[in-house]
Amino acid sequence: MEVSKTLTNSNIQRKFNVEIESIYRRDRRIAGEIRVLIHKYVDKFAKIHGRSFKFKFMNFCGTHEWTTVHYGIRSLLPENIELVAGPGCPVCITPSFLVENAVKLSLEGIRVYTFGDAFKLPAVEPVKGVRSLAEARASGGDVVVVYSFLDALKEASNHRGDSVFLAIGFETTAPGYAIPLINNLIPKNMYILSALRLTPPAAEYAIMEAKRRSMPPVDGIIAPGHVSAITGAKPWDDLSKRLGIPAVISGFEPLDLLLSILELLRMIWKNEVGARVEYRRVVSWDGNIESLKAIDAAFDVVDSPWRGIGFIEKSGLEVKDVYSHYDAFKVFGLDKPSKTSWTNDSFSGCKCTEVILGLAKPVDCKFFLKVCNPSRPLGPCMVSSEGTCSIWARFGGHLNLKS
Amino acid sequence: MCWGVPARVLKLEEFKALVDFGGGIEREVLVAVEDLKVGDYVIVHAGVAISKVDKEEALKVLEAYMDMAVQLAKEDGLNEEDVKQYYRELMSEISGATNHE
Repeated sequence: MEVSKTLTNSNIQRKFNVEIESIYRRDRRIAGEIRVLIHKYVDKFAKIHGRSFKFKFMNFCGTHEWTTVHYGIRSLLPENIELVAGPGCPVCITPSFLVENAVKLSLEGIRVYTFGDAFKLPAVEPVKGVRSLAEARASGGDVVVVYSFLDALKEASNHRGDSVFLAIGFETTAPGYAIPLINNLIPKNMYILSALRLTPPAAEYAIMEAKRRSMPPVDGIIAPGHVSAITGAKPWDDLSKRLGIPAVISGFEPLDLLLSILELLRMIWKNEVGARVEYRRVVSWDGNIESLKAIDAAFDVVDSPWRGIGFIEKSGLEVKDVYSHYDAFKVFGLDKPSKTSWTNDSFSGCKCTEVILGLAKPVDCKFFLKVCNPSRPLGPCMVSSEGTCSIWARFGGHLNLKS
Repeated sequence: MCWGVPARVLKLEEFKALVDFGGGIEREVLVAVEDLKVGDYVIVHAGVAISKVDKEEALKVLEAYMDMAVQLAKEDGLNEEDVKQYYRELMSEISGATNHE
């Protein structure tokens, strides 16, 4: 089917791009068609496994969970398909000790830059009675919320004192720090407090954890599109082959998710493993090579702790020794837990860890929408707008429309 | 957190670009993509342009899905040509919608 035409006029091109996004966002006809195909596959499986078979597909991105809940994707699917949110929110898994360090620095008069997401992120142990950067600012600490690292760079170069950037994020965010770092764009009075984490190792951990706890296994991976824009499809291909379950790298519009679910079903039907890319308009097989090089030059991959989970092998990024004059840990002599000294940093009674690993739903937590809500979050999953609890609280993922 | 928004490149410097998110919102972002040109569409995440958007690929994905739909319809015993015709019309409507000015 020949549909592609060469478009040269920029106005047409502009329209075209807007339309493409809007087709993927709200073309109900195609959505209906894909839904029919999903049901067709489910019928095929039902003939073999019986009507009550279940497939569990896990996503690893807060934005996927947002799309799923906001557009009611779960209500479009047959009951045989369960969509579960895995570890996909960097704020939710940022260990408490990093927040404590940032709070401590801000109260000592060092300016702390952060993304809005992490502003309210609570620490488990209060520092001088202060639990989060938001509280630190209310107590006179120097905390500035920025939209991007670039904005912080500009701000810091006009600032006389020292400043620290609480560098939260996954692979998607990492080049934003790495490129300025290796190109000497960071002012001398600014330091990086790296909370950077890598997604595939955590995905593997979450999938294996379901097995370790004898919970229903994960049957398919809905891999994060924007992480893969940087990493490419390779890491997901390796993971998929190692675990023997299919992976589809998905975009973030409702049609993207439906197409990815359909592709997972097709792959299971054909006994295929490996990664397929649904989000081909953004993700290439090799990823963003320039960014990967920059990340490689700026950071070391190390074993890192995740909040409530503990150390995951080769899952974090640490500023390389050559750039240690930009590493807030080294410059300010901050403490870091080791594997032996790490203690669980989840709040007692909070189910965030299980929610992050896809082992529980927000509604399974006794605090959910009782003492823990988006305006007064208790656990980290309720803090970030990409946290599963926050998404369910705001858009009603807890309602089962079918029953 | 890995929220990405498509935007159009208006101006380029060595490491920075001015991009248009539509609706009158323009911002300076860091460039993490090679061979970027003015007029390209990019995905912007946390103030960093992380990838180009390739519109042709978006249509190819839909086409691939249509092929799958035809295959399944064939298994159901429907006339292949009818089904193909139906999807051809659907696709030309879509590409038509994306071509008009």
